[in-house]
Amino acid sequence: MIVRMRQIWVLIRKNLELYFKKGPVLVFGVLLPVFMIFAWIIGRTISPIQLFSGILGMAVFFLGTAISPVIFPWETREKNLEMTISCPITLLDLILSVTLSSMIYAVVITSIIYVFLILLLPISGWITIWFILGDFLLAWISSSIGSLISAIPTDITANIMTISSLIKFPLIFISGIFIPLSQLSPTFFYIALCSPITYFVDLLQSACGVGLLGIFNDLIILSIWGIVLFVLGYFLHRHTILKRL
Amino acid sequence: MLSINNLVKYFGQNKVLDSISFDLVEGRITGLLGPNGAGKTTTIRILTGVLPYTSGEIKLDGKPFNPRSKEWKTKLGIVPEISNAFLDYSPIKNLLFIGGVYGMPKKISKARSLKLLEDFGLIEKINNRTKRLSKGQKQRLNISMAMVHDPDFYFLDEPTTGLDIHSLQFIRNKILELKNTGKTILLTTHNLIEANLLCDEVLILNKGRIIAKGTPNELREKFAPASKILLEFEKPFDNFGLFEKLGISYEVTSTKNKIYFYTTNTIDDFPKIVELIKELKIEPITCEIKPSSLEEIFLKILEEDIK
Ligand SMILES: Nc1ncnc2c1ncn2[C@@H]1O[C@H](COP(=O)(O)OP(=O)(O)OP(=O)(O)O)[C@@H](O)[C@H]1O
Ligand SMILES: [Mg+2]
Repeated sequence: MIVRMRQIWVLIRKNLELYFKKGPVLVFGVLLPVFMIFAWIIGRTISPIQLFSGILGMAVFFLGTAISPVIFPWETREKNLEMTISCPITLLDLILSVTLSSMIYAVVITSIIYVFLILLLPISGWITIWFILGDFLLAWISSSIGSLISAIPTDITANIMTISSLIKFPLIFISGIFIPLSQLSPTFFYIALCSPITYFVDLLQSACGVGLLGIFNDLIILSIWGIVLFVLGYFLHRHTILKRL
Repeated sequence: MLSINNLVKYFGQNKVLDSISFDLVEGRITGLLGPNGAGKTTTIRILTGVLPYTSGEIKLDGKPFNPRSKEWKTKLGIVPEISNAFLDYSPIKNLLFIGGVYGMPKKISKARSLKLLEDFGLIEKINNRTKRLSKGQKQRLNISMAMVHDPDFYFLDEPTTGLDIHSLQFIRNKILELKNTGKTILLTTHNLIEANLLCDEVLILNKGRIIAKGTPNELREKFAPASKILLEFEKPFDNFGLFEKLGISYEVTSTKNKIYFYTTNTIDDFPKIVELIKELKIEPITCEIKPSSLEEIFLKILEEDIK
């Protein structure tokens, strides 16, 4: 067990060290959300809580989906995947390490953003525990979405990034980030429930006392999303991994 | 001992390995020879657990096992056909990565990595990015990556292709050192001189079938005349027909100044040739006996296989 944890850690370290500053990761994980956030907030009056939960929601989601989709196509192209497959590592551990790397990347950066937001906005630091739980969960979910998409057996990173954008943007737009859930019409309300980001945003809002679904419901639903997406990603990879070799 | 029995591999409808069987024995180098597309790399990828196989049996010391299992993979050192080190990592980081995923304690893995870099002449490049290494340096790195965890089995896919004489010799010596420490080695190569130098047993693979196997010497005896006798003349010679009556098969070069006789009975045939030369009063500048090379045997076997 300890050996296995070390192996996974070695893989995570490798993923973080090699990919955190790769082009596609910076563009899709950092630049894009920064622009989106600016486009959203400039010239608008948004309540502090909406702003706070919205910025964090986008940051976690984009950072979480930044590294995980890149690794499989990249390493297929560079043949590193063949090496890792011939090492004593199971596919499960390989996917776990990819998902965890991207999650850690998102958690570290969003924690810094969180501290700034807490200092800048009139929001109490008491919600930190709920933020941490939600942060880990949404980062894990986003990262799982990324690795799930990368199960498409291509070795062209740009293809995966295009497909992942096609999935990511709708998930952002239908979520409760831009318009609070309570102001949505019933149809849009139900659509919003289809995005995992909604529950993260609502979690932060509930922690600040203005949420709709309640902290525990949000946490439970986020956990279910996390488990389902990861398992789905694992089975898809198991199905397609041989096509990469 | 690793025994492979009737191994078959299909890629879709395409049969790439057709019921091949062989053994890999401790302290021995087995060479897998064959033309491009014969199935050498596929064989290695199956035995190292990268690809599944369609049918057949693989046994380790008599017991069937799954080559895709973790326990088996821990025992392997692999040098791939195409370098698969992380190009943005330095050599030392690549070695430490391998140490890590093979579950070695960090201290031991570090000490061993440094020693390997030293041995393989990569110590000055220790912190360069692997991307910046030359081809030969990359190949040395790949071999040291296969050795970090001191595995029992080595699978080397064309480890010396495209290297200069110096690196070539260095790597061949390393491979022999591994053999002498009792490792089991499977090596693929296109280079017959190399197979002759290194291998205890040679398997010749063509279109997914093993068409010949044996020690380099056995193959020589079985498939080719034991030797050839060369006569070389100063000027082109146009009366080679005179040698016809010896009844020894021969071949004249296109430059018309050399003739090769192929024989399995040098002791009787050589004097006959010399006798005839005397009789004809011709004076060759060279007259020598050469053992036939593995290359000729190889071509001959392939020729026979096509028939
Ligand atoms: N992943 C794959 N999918 C389909 N066919 C494959 C795959 N890998 C190899 N092949 C086919 O299997 C055959 C054997 O290939 P292999 O790479 O084992 O040859 P090789 O003996 O290593 O050749 P070389 O000397 O060129 O390296 C080839 O015809 C190749 O096209
Ligand atoms: Mg090959």
